[in-house]
Amino acid sequence: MIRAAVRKAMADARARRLQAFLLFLVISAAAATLMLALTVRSSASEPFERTVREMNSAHLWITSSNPDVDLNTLAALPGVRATSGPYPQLWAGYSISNSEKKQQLYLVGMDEQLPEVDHPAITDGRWLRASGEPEIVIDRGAALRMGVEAGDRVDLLVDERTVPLVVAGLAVPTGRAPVPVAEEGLAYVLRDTLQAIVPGGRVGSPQFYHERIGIQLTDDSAAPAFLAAAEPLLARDGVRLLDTRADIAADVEDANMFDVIFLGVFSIFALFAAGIIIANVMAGQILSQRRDIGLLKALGFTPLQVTLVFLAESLALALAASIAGVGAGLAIAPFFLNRTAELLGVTSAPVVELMPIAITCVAVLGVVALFTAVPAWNAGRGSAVRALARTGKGGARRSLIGALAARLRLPVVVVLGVKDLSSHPARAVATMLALTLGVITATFTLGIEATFGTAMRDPASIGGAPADLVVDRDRYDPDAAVSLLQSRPEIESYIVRTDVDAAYGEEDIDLHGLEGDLERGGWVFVAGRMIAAPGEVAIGQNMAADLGLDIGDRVSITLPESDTTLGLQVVGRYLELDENVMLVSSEMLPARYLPTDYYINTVQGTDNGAFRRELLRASGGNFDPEVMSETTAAFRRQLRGVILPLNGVLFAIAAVNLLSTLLLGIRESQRDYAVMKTLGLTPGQIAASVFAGGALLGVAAVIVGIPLGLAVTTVIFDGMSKAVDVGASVGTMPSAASLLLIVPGAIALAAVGSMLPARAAASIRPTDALRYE
Amino acid sequence: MVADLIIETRNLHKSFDTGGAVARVLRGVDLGVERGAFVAIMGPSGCGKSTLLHLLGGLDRPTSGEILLSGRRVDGLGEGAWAVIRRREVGYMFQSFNLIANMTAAENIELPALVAGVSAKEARRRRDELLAQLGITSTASLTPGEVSGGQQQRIALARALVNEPAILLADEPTGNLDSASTREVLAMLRERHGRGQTLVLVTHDPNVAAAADRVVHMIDGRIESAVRDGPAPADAAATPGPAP
Ligand SMILES: Nc1ncnc2c1ncn2[C@@H]1O[C@H](COP(=O)(O)OP(=O)(O)OP(=O)(O)O)[C@@H](O)[C@H]1O
Ligand SMILES: [Mg+2]
Repeated sequence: MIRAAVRKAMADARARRLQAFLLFLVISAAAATLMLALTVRSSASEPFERTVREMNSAHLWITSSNPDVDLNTLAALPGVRATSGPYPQLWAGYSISNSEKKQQLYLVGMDEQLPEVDHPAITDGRWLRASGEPEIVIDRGAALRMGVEAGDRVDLLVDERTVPLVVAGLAVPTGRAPVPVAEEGLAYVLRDTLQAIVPGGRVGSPQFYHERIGIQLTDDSAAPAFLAAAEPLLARDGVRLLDTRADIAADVEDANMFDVIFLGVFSIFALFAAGIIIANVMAGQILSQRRDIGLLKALGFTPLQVTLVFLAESLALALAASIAGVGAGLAIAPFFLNRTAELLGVTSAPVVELMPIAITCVAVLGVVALFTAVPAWNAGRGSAVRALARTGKGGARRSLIGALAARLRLPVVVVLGVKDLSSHPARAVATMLALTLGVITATFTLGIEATFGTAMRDPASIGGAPADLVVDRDRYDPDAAVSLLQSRPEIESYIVRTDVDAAYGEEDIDLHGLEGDLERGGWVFVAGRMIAAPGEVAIGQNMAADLGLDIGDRVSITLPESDTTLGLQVVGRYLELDENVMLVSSEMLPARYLPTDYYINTVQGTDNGAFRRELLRASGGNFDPEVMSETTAAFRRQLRGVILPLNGVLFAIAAVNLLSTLLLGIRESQRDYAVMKTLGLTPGQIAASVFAGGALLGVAAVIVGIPLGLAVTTVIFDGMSKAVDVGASVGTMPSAASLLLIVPGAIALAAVGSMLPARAAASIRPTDALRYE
Repeated sequence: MVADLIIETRNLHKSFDTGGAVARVLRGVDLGVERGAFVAIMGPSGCGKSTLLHLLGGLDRPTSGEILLSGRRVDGLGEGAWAVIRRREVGYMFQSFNLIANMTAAENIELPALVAGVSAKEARRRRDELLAQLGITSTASLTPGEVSGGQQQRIALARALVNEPAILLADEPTGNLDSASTREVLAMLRERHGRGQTLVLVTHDPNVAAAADRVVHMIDGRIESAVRDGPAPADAAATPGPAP
C-alpha cells in the first residue's frame, strides 16, 4: 500500500514538474523566513556570549565612591568564585577626539598584566605597556564609530588640557555594552596614566574616581544568595550595583529587535501565503485526478487512505522544502547577526539549535497539512463511481460574475477571463488573499517610508531631539560654546539644555532646563503645550503614562545635589524616547548647573554633515554634533535591509500563487480555450483574457488589501512604538498618492504572474485540445 | 469559364508525427466547392474527414498543399488571421459539439457574435431566432451538462451559424439526433442553403447526404469520387445567389 502511494506521488511529481518546483520554492521561502526570524532571535546574543566566555567575564560589577568601603570584602561572600579588581574608574566620562569624531568614554585604570578573570577582550593591537608614551585601549565599537585603529593617536579632552595618547589596541569592554549599544564606552589606561590625567585624585574625591570590582559567581543561580549577603555593603553610601551580565546581553540582543519583529510578522504572512498556494494546487490536482482517485478506491484504498496519499504527497514536498528553508535561513542569518558581531570583533555564526529547526519544520508541515487536509479529505470521501464517471464536463454552475460583467458592457475578452475565475470561486478568493498579503506588505512598507520621511524632516515626530544637530557641551567652556554658536551664520536658532539629576518621589528624573526659542524647537505634543514660563513643566508621554501624571497636576521635584525643591505645574505631554524626562525653564535651576547640550536648527539648505565637521574643527575637537537626519538615515538603511527583501519574498509568493492558480484554471479549461479560438478569438485575445482575470484579482487584492494594510501598519507601529517606548503610537500613515502606486504595482505583479499562463493559453492548439473526448 | 470556387484545396497533405511513426492522414486532397454549394463528405471512420475539415477551418495547418478561400491563399496565415476569418466567413461545428461547459446555451450561442463585435442586443436577437428555428428555446438558460446530446448538437449548430458565415463547416451535425430531429435540422440547413449559404458537411447518414448537391467520398486520405447526385431543385446550376 505504501509503495503504491509512493509510486503515485512520484508519478504526480514527474507529471507536474513545474508545479512541484514552484511549490517547493514557495514553501522553502516561507520556511527560510521563519527560520531566519527564530535564528536571529535565538542567536542574537551568541556573539556576545562567546566574547563573554573569552573574557572569563564576571557576572556582576559593583562600584564604590565611598573611601570607607572595602570592596575586597565581597570576595569572601557566598557564591563568589573569583573577583577582578578593584580598579579605579574615573567618575566622569572624558572624551577622546581625532579629527573626525569625538567619543565619550569612562576611563578605567588597569595593570600591564591582564587579570585572569574579567579581562577586556582584545580584538585589535595589544594590551597596555608601561614603557614609552602613555597608551589607551578603546572600546572597539567606539573606535569603529570614530574610525580609530590601533597605533593611531587620539587626544583626551580633560577640562582645559588635552592629553595625547597612543591607541595600543581595541577591546570589547567588560561590564558595559559596547558603543553604540551603550552611548558612552569604556577605555583602559594604566593606573599611572590615570593618576597623571587627574593628579592627586583618590576614591570619592569629586574629580576623581570610583573603584570597580567584578564579581564572578560559581554560576548564575548563585546571584540571589550573593546579593542577599552583599546587601549591607550595597546599602552604604556611594556603593552601586551596575548592570549585570544578563542586562548587558539583553541590551546587545535588542540591537536586532526590529529585525526579529519584522521577520516574525512577515514569516507568518509568508507561511499563510504558501498555505494558500498549497490548498489551491492540491484542490486542482485532486479535481484533475478524480479518475485516478476512483481507481485507487477500486483497487481497495479506503477514503482515509486516499486522504493520506494526498497528504503524504504534499508533506513529503513540505519536508524537503523545510530542510532547504532551514539551510537557507541559517545561511542568511549571519547578515543580520553581523551587526553585533562586528562590534565584538568576532565573525558571527548562527548557532544550529534544535528548537528553531523543530519549530520551523513543525510550523511548515502543520500549515501544509492543514491546507492540504480539506481538499484531500474531500477527495477521500467522493464516491468511486462518480469520480470515474466524471469527465470534467457538466455540473458547472452558471457564472453570476460573468453575467454581471456582460451587463456592465465590458469587452468579451475581459468577461471571459472573469468567467474562468468565477468557475472556481474558492480558488480565486484564495489567490486574491495571497495577493492581498502582498498589498498589505506594500502598504506597511510605504508606511515605514512615510514615517522615515517625516522623521528625516522632523526627528521629534518619533520622539527624537527637536533639532537638526544636537551637541553635547561635555567639557567645553560654556562661554566659548555660546560665542561659537553665535558666530556661525549657518545656525538659525539654538536652544540651550541643562540636564539635572532630579527626583520625583522615588523616581529618578532627567530634568531638562531649556532656554531659547522653545516654540521653534518643535517638540511634538500629544496633549497640552510647551512650557512658556517658569513654574511650568512638560513631561514625556511615556513618563506621564507610567506615573499617571496629567495636565494640570502639580508636581514637586527635588534636586538632591543642590537641596532644592521645585513646585511645578504640568502643562503638556510630548513624545520622548528617553525615560522620565521633564522639561522646565532654565530660569528655575540654581546657577551652579552649567549647560549640557545644545539643540541647533540650521538655516534651510545647510549641508549639516559638512557643518558638523566644521563645528568639530572650530571647537578644537570639543563639539561633535549628532546630525539627526544621519542617525535617522542610518536607522532607515538598517530597516530597509530587512523590509525590502521580505517584500520581495512575499511578492514572489503572491506572483507564484497567481501563476499556479491561472495555470490550473487553464489546464482545466483547455478545451474551452480551444473552442474559443475556433469561435474567432485570436491568441492575443486569449492571452488578454487570462491577463484580465489576473488583473481583476490584483485589483480586488488592492481594494481589500489597502484597508487591511493600514490596519496592520497601525498595529505594527503600535508595537514598534511600545518597543522603543516613546509613550504614544507614532508613525506616519502612507499618503493617498503613494497608496495609489500600489494599484499599478499590483497589476504589474498580476501581469508577471499571468505571463506564463497567458502564453500557455494562447498557444493551445484547438485540434489537440479538442481531439480527445 | 472558371467556376466561382469559395473553397479550393490543391494537393493537400497532412501528416502527424506520432512518437516516431508518421501517420499520413491526408494524401493529396483536391477539392473545389462552388459558392452556395451544399457538399457532403462521406467515408469510413479514420479516413481523414475531420482532419480535412480542421484544415478548411484553419484549426490546423496542412503539411503541404494549398487552401484558397474565395480565391485567396490562406494556408500560410497565422492563428490571429484565421481567427478573424472564422468570426465572419466560416462557421465551424464540431463532431463532439465542444460547448463551453460553464456557459448557458444562450451564452454559448451569443459568444461568437460578441467576439465579432456584434452588439449585445443584436446577438440576443440572432440567438433567439436560431433557438426557435432549431426548436431548443427551452434550453436557453441551461448549461451543456443539463441538456441532452441531441440538444447539445443543435446548440453547437446554432453557435456555428450565429455570425451568418458564408461557409458552414459541420462535422456530423446530425450524428446524435433521432430521425425527427434530423429532419428538422436538415430542413433548416436547406432553407439556409436556399438563401445562398455554402455548406460542407461530414456525415455518415445517407439521408443527409441525399440532401446535398454533391457527395464527396473519401478513402485513405484521398477523394475517391465526387458524385453529383443531389436532388434536382438544389442543383448547383440552379442555385441562386451571386452569379458565377
Ligand atoms: N493530432 C493527431 N495526431 C495523430 N494522429 C491523428 C491526429 N489527428 C488525427 N489523427 C489520425 O488521423 C486519422 C484520421 O482522423 P480523422 O479524425 O480525420 O478521421 P475521421 O475520418 O474524421 O473519422 P471519424 O469518421 O471516426 O470521425 C485517424 O487515424 C487519426 O488517428
Ligand atoms: Mg471525424
